[in-house]
Amino acid sequence: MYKTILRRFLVLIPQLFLISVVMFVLAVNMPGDALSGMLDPNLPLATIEQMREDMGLNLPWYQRYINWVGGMLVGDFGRSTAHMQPVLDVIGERIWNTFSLGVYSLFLTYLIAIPLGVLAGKHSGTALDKAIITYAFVALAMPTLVLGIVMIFLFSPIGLGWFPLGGSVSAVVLSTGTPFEIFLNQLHHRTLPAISLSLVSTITIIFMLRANVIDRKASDYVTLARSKGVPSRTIFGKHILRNSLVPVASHIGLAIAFTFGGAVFIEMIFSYPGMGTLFLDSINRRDFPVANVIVMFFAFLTALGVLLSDIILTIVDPRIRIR
Amino acid sequence: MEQNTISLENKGLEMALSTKPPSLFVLFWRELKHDAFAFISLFVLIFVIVAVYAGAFFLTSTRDVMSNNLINQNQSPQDSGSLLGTDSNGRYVAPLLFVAARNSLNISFAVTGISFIIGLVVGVTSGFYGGKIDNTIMRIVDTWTMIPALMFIIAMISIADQRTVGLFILFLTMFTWMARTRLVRAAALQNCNMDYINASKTLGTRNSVIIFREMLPNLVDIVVANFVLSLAASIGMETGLSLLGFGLGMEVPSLGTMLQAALQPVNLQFRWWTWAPALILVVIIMLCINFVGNALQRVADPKQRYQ
Repeated sequence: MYKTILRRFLVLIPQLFLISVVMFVLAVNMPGDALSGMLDPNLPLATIEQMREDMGLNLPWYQRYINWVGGMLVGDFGRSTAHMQPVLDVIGERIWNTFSLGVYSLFLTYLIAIPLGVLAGKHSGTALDKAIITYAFVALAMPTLVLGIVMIFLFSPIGLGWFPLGGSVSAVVLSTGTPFEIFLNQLHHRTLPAISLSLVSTITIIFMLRANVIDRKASDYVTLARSKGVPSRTIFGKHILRNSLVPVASHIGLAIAFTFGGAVFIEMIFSYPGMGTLFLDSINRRDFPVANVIVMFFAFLTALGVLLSDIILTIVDPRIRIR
Repeated sequence: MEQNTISLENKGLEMALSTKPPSLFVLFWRELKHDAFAFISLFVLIFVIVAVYAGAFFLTSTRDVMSNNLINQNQSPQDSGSLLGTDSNGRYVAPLLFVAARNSLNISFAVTGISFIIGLVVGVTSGFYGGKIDNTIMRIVDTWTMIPALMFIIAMISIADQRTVGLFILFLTMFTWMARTRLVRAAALQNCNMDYINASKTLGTRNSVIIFREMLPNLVDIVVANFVLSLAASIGMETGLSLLGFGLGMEVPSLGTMLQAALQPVNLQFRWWTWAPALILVVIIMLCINFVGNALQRVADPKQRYQ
């Protein structure tokens, strides 16, 4: 099994390489570069040209690409042209915010989805089941960003004022509060974006669980257990529920990829200082060293998520083995 | 006695062969009669689509709808005397909504249509021929799926000299065809393993005949159901990207560009008419599409459809 995981991991390398080339070519072709709009227009052209030369902007794209990848391989991710800092420092400030938002959102996703999915499956065909399905359809009809707007309208200070808007932690609490208060405040700031993110991802899990539970309820081994006189509570808890959760467990890798991908965009609506806002900012300021690294990071994360799903599937379901 | 059963079986077979299977439309209608949500959704959806296209067609001219009027900025429905007031450019929201919804629908029809054409061609090739061709194609699809799509679209839109509708459709299609290909390929592969295709191959039927006359008709149900569901996804993508300012240019209004108004807290708090109509329309369209698409999906699966 370790061999197969290693092999899958090695397949990632050419894939990531291809993506990095495409992203780099895109970046090189964007109109303007790190210096446009940043400089005093009175500077003589020769000086600007000299600065371009010094920054390596005049080299052909493949030369720059080789420099970039070569740097990354030895841990040098380049310097941000907009922040005048190493790229890793710029991203490092933001990565915790996106990471914590994603984890919180995943937690909420499973907290909502598992009970609803199980209940809908257990009581399939009843009014409760129909209500849960209707909820899922309404959530499905809300694109994440539209849902974000609705959330802001309803619960931010604009509406009911239950949750703050913008930022990842309040400055006052950060400077005076105890660690626990800071944690609570961070949670408070993350709740709205996290819910907006998780409602969409709950749908897949709810439908998956519901279908599984219904499927298992009609399966032969459950009929056998029933005819042997096993109490229905035991049948449900031990035989139906456990088996129904298998696909949900293996879905977590995909859910991680999906949640972090979505986090990037929900951040922009909530002006939340994470990787997403950093990416937009980098594109607008032509700060390609940062933008490229962010794209590569998310491509890698997606690939890892898919791989994780496959690995979990082989662990929890003995019938499946990675080829 | 034995002869009797055989003749009965033959009779049953004859009857089964002589009655045509009900068409997709009949099955869909049967399903609708037992699903109130889907039934209502279908009519709301048809109404909205007809109203949007007719409304946008009969509006005197797009130029009038789009022309800015700085005196009339941000007037509420009461002040301006029109149904939905004016937006921050002084444009009347109500007529703008028709043009915007038409553009959004056009884009999502185009994106879904093109990506399904690609998906059908590539997916059927991959599923039918299998082996090395299948492996290569699926590797490419896998790699392509790893690309963070929305980030790439944002980067590409920043490059574009001019933000035209065609370019936007192209960018969206570039990242939606993989899912369609996967779907079609899985269905094609499943069909290829069935006896009727194997029998046909043994008889020496030409591949083109097998694909077009025997396999494709069996894929229609799945494709139609997923086409409808993908429409909603395309509308979602268009809205999201335009909302962030990486969709269409200012000269092409869409539901997403209208939602941009909601990004300003002032509008969100005091001027509901600038953003709420577009938001409600997006949700209604997507909700109806999802209900109808789900009913279609049940029709496509004989195990789930209403008997």
